[in-house]
Amino acid sequence: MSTTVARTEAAVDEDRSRRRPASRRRPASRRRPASRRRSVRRAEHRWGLLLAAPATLHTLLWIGAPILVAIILSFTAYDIIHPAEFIGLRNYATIFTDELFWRSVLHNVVIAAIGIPISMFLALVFAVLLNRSLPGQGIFRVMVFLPHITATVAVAMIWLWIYNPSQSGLMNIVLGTLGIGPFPFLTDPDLALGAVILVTIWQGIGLKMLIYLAALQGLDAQLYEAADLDGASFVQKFFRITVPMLRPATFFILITSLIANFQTFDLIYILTEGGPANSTSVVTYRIYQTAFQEFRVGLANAQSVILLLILIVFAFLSRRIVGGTDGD
Amino acid sequence: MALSRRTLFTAAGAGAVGIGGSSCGSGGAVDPSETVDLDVDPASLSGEIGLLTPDFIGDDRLVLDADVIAPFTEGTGISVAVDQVDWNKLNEKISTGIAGGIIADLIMTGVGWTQPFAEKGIFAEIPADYIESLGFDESVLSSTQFEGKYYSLPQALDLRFFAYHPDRFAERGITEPPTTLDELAQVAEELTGDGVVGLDYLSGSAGSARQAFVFLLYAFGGRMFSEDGLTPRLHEEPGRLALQWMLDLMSTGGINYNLRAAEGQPSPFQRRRAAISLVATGNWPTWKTMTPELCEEGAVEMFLMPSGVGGDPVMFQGGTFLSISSLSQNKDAAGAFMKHMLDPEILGIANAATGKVPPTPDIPENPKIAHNLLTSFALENLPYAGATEGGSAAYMEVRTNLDGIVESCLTKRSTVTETLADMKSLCDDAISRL
Repeated sequence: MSTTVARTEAAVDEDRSRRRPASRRRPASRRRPASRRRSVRRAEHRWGLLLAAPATLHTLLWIGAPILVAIILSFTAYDIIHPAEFIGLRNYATIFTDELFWRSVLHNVVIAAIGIPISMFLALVFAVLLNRSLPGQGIFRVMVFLPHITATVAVAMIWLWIYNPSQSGLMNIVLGTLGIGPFPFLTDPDLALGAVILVTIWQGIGLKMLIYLAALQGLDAQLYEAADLDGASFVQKFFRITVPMLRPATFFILITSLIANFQTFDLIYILTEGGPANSTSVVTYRIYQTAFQEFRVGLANAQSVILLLILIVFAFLSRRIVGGTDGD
Repeated sequence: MALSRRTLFTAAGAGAVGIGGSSCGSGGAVDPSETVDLDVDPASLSGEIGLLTPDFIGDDRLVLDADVIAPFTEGTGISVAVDQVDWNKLNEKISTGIAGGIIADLIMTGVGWTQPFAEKGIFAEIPADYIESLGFDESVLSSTQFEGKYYSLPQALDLRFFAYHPDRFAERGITEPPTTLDELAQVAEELTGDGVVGLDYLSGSAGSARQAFVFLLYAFGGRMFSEDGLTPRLHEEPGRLALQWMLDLMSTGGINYNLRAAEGQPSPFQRRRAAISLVATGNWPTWKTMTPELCEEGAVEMFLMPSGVGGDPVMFQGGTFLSISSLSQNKDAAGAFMKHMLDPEILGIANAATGKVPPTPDIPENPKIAHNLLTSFALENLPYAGATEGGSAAYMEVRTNLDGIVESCLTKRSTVTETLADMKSLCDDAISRL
C-alpha cells in the first residue's frame, strides 16, 4: 500500500515539473532524484508523527483511557475495597429510578437555562461597551474579568458572606436599606438555587466577555462603514451586523458554558453542599456523593457515563440551534 | 514495527483495560483477619506510622505534636506522620487512600463509622481484653463494636446537650429548666420574642438536621436500627414524634430553621439571639476566644435533653474514635501508639486542647478540663450519653442522604409520612447491598 502511494506521489511531482515552463524548471543536474524526494517526505511524515505524539499520547492516556475505564467500571459493583463484580446494566437501571440523580440533572438544566443566556447577554453588552474607546477601559475590562480568574473557593467564601442571612450579610444589608428582607438565601430551598445561579452568572461573564471582545475586534470595519453610509442606527448595526457576525463566537461560548455548567462542583460543595433538602444538588455533586460518601464507585461511573451522553446531546442540539461555521 | 492508527488504538485499549482491571482488583490486599498485638514491648518496635485525624486543628496541632507524639517518639523511636483532614472530607480521604494504597496506620473517625468500615474490612480487630482493662463506661463503648468484636476505641467525646442564658429565663419568670419535651417546647415558645429565638436547635454550631433528628429520636425512645443493624427503626412511631415535635415548634417560632451563624462568626446563642441552644462540648474553646463572658461561672446553665416518654434524659454522643487500619504494614507500632493516646494523662492533655471530653472520668487533675464547664457537666452525666448515630454497617450510605430527607421535611417539601417512608426506603436500599 505505501509503495503505491509513494509511486503515485512521484508521478504527480513529475507531472507538475513537466507542466512548469522550461525557463523555470531546475536544471537536471540540480533536481533531486525521486528516491531522495521520497525519503524527504518520509522524514517529514516521521517528524509529523513525532511532534503529534505527545498530544496524542496525552489524549489517549489521560482522556481516552479514563473514559474507557469509567465505561468498564459502570458495569460493575465496586466499592474500592473489594474487587469489582460484573453486574451488567444494573447500575444504569438504578440510575433511572434514582430520583435524586435526575433532580440534580434538572438543577443543572435550570442553572444552564437561566444562567447561560443572561451571562452571555451581559457579556456581549459589556464587550460592545468596552470595545469602544472609553476612559478607564482597561480597569473595567479587568474588573469584569477578575471573577473568572479568582479561585472558585474564594468566590464561594465571598458569596457565603454576601448571602449571610444575619444582619452582617452584604445582600441583606443592601436590601435592608430598601426595607426588604432579610432573606435566608442559602437555607431556603425556594431561594437557594436562584442564589447559586446568580453566582454562576457573576463568575461567568468575564471569560465570555473576553471571547466576544476578541471576536468583535476581528470584525470587518468596512461593514460598519457601509452601514453608516446607508444610515443604519446603532441598534440596527448591532442586530444586523454584530450579532450575526459573532455567531461562531456565540456557538463556542454556548458549548463551553454548557460543559462548564454540567461540571460545576466546587461552588456547590462550598456554598450549599447540595442543600437545603437537596435543592441545589447538581450532577457532579451527586456523582461525588455516590463515589466517595456511599462507596458505590461502579454506580458513580455509570452516572458519569450518563453525564457524558447528556453533554454530547447538548453539544449536538446547540450546534443545530445556534449553528456555527464548518470551522467550529 | 510501523506505527499505524490501528496499533495506537489497540495499545490504548489494552492499556485502559489493564488500568481498569488493576483498579478493580485493588481490594485483594485487604487482610482484616490479622489482629493487633498490644502486648509487644514498645521498645522493640521501630519505623514510621501515619495518623489520619480530623481533630487537632489550628493551635491544637502544637499540642498533638509536642505533648502527644513527641513523648511517644522519644520513648519508642517510632515516628508519627500526621495527616490532617476536615471532618467533611474524612470519608473520601479514607476511600481514596485505600484506592491509592496509602491509607494511614491509625485512623480517627466519628461515632457511627465503626460498623461500616469494619464490615468492609478496613479496620483491624482490637483485642477485647485490653478494652475491658480500660474500664470505660458501656455507654461510650456501644459504638465501637461490629458483630461482637471491637474495632475502635473512643479517644474524645463530643457530647451534646442544652445550654441557656439564666438571665433570660429570669426575665420571663422561668425558674427551672424543663424536664419533659412538652415543657421544653412550652419554654422555648415563652422565651421567643424581642429578636430572640427560644431554642436554637438546628444551627450549625451543634450538628446537622440529621443529628438533630437522631437526638430527638432517642429522646422519644427510638433508635436508628435493630440490634443486628439489618432492620431500620428510625421510621417508626418515635421517628414520627421527633419530626412532628420539631415542626410544631417551628410553627410557633420557638425554633427558627433559618437561624444560622456565618462562617467564623459567633453562634446565635453566643450573640444572645437564642435563649436556649443545643451545644457541643467542643464549643468551649470557641466561646473562650470569642465570647469569654459566657465562660464565667453562672453565665450559662446546662440541662440534658428531657425524655419524651417519661424515662431518663439523654445526651447525644459524638466523638472521635481510634481505629487501626487492617492494611497497616506496622500494626503493632500503630497499636502501641493507640495505647499511648489512651493513656489517662495523654487523654487529659489532648482533650484539654480540643475542648472535648475524655471517654473516662479517671484522668489526672487537669486545670484546663476542670475549668471547662461544658466538659464538667458532660462528665457528670456520662451514663446518659446513649443517643448515638449509626448502629448498622450500612450507615455510611444512609448518613449521606439522611440530611436531605430530614431537611425536606423541615422545609415542608415533604410530609412527615413521606419523610418516614423515604427514610425506610433509604435504609432498606443500603442494607440490601451489604
